[in-house]
Amino acid sequence: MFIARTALASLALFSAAPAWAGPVGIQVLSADGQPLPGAVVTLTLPGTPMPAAHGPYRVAQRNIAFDPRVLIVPVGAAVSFPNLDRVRHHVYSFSSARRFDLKLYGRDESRSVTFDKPGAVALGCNIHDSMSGVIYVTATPYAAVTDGQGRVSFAGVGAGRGTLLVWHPSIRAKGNAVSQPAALTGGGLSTVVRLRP
Amino acid sequence: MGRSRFRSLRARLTVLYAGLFTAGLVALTIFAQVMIERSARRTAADELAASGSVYDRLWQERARSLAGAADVVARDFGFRSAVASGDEATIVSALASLSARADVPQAVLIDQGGQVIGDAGAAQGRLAALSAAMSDARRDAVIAIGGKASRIVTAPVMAPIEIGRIALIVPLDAQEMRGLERLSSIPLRASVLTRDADGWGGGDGHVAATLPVDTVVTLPGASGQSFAMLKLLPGVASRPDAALLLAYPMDRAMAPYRSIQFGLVLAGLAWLVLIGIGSGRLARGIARPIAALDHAARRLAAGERTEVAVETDDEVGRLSATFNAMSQGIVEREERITHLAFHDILTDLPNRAFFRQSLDQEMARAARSGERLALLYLDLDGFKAVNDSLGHPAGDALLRRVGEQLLELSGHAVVARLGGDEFAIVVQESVDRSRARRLAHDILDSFARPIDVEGQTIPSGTSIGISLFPDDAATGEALVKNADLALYRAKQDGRGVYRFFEQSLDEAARRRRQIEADLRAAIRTGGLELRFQPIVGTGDAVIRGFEALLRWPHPIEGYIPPTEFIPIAEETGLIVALGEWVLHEACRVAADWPPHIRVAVNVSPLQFRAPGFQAVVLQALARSGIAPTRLEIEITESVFLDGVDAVTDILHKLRAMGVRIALDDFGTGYSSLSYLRSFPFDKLKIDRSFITNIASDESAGAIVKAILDLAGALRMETTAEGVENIEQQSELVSRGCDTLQGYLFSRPIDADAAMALLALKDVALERRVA
Repeated sequence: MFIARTALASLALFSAAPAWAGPVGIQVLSADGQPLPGAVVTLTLPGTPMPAAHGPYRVAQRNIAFDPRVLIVPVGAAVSFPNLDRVRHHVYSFSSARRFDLKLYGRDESRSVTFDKPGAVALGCNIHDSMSGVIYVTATPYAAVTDGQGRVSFAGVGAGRGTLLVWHPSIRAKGNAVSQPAALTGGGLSTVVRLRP
Repeated sequence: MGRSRFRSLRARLTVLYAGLFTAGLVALTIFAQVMIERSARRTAADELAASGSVYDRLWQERARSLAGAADVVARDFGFRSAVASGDEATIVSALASLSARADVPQAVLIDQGGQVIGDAGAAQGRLAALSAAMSDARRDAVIAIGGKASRIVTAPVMAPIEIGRIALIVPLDAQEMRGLERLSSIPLRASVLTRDADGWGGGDGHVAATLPVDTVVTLPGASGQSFAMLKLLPGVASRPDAALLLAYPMDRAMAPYRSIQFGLVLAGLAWLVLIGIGSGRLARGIARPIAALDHAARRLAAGERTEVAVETDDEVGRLSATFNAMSQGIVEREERITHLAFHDILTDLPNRAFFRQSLDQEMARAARSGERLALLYLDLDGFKAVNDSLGHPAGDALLRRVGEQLLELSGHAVVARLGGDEFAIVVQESVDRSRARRLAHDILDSFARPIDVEGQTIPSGTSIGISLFPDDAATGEALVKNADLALYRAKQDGRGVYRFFEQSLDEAARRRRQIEADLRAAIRTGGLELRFQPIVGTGDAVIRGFEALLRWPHPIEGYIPPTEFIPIAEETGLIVALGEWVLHEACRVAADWPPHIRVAVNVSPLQFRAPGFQAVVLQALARSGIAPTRLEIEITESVFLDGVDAVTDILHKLRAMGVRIALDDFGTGYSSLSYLRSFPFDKLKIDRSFITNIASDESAGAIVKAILDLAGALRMETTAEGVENIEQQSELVSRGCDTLQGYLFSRPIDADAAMALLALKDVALERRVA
């Protein structure tokens, strides 16, 4: 959540549009109606400037897990993958957004990858199947991970028509994402996205 | 059980026992079969249920195995890389190798977008939706497409989030089912049914939708009934598309029990045969002694001597013993009866019937061996007197002694009592006839001595007639007759002698029979005549009376002398009728005579002793009307031979009637003077043998004189018979004889002549002679 807040802060920094929409609150519910935490929600509005990279971005491997699990980075950001475990890891990604393969490396070794295309980059370790993470490369400043209540909120979003996209590994769709049009008015936007089974 | 249905006890028992045993056996067999059937069904159902759970495990095992194979591929780094990068050619080749390795016809990849990579066949269109619909945990589902069921086993491709799914498509076809079937411990038929309009169809038929699930039921089928259990196969959605039908054909399920049932039936049949045999034996065991008794009783009834074996101690055994005792009793009584029928009770010698049989047998045997037989016929002399004087017990004892003595004397010969005092002996005769002769001598010698019977000494004697076989007769009857003739002859010849049969005896006998027949006819037809011979006074020769003399003018042979036919009349009993006629006729004739003329009638001893003789006399007197004093009955001494007392009794009765009694032929025979004491005769008639020589023979004269003196002393009248000349007359006159009779005065003359003679009143007859 620290990252999310950082992201929100950065969104707020880039909100220099002439017309401002009201507060945006989005809740994501799973197919069975439960709040879905850990989902990436992005709001794309035309005319919104690309977010600037604020690195350093880092996904550490700690205790046979990615830390953080979900990392949102702007396009062009470079992310380091430090191994804080005593075991070795083989971090890879087959995602089309950024395909890479960091062959076995040990403790306190680090590799760095630059993500220059937007999209979800699913991270895995070829040694440890249970390790799963994602680096979400975004071209919009309005991107966040749902909290425990499946909620995200954006502030300082300009009015206009855009696209709301929800990404989650459980979504059975191309790119594990669903999107819908979003109309942002002065009254803001408060919507619930319920995923289809 | 009908009386007519079973002729034998054995059959009835056999049927009863066999029926009972068979009924029990059949009931037991039916019970066993039902129990076996029920047990078999329960066992089969249990087996099927167990197999059902085994199938579940197999099903899951298969799923795991397939999923494992798919997982290997899905986790392959290169494959994941290929999937992530959309390298279709690599994916397809990897899937092909998976398909071959897992022995699955089709293996495809479904990516996150629902696109199917690889050939999924008919399932192609449904796979995307299927993959999407299956939750992450579900790896396995059965779908039905066009009535064919297929199993889908999926494996997610994680990178590390899911980027696609491998799907193995296993058609649930016959081969797959056979594979399953082979793993079962019982011969099951597994088939997959798919849902249709009203239930489940395909495979081995159709079952209703209402068929309970996971429960053993009985289903009819083309090849007979089977136990069946329907198991739903999980589909994608909650409503399954297909179901597994496990069928356990009844005939195969029951096959192990069929052999038991068959064996049971076979054993039952064998047992049935044993029952049949056993019942038969048992029934025979029970019925056999009874049948034996039945048989023995029939034989006994048929007159055979029979016994049954006593084998047991039970009622049948006792019955058998009783039967044997009864049979034995009957046999003994029969033997006793037979013995009585053929033996004389008194002497225990063979009787006449037995004797005749024995005689015939002996004769047959002798005829075969060329031997000669002698038949001795015996008759005790004077037996009647013994009986009369000493009583029947003494007579019987005498007969017993005689029998014993004859047996003793004759050795091994056949001795029989023919009845009364007659005995017969059959002996083997030697060629010279000496044996019969010797035996006859021995018997006569033996019987010449008095026999001691019960403390009394009885004078005995016997006469014997002997006939020889084959010399005298060819048949038993003739032999007996000839012996009888010889005996007759012996008797005639003065008793105490034996005589052999001679042919002349036979001829004499034949003549006697002829005379008897003619005499019988003469009596009936009045062919007899009476002659009357005058009895005159000694001094004046005047007729005092007549002696009636019987004459028989035989139509063929002329006059037959009384000496010939009277004995025959005596033997045959004709004498009674003859004498009666004589009495009547004499009295009738005498009735015409002057009242002082007497008529003398000879009466034979037989006639005299015949019952009713006095009545006959009375009747003759009454019918003729003559005075009793005019009738003079002449008897001879022989009348006393059979007992004095009875005779004197009759004499006294006649005397009481007024009839005169004369003792004829006095001086011959026994001439026992005691007779004269026992009865006061009216007259003595001196026998002609004394008269003939009275003049020339001094001794004869002396005897006549003695008789006359005796008569005078006893105050008896005297008549001399056979007076033929003057010398005799004058001698008799001089000795004082009262009356005379003889040719000197007159021959016997007929009634008319006698009447004419009497008409010459008081004429002295000697004049005529002179």
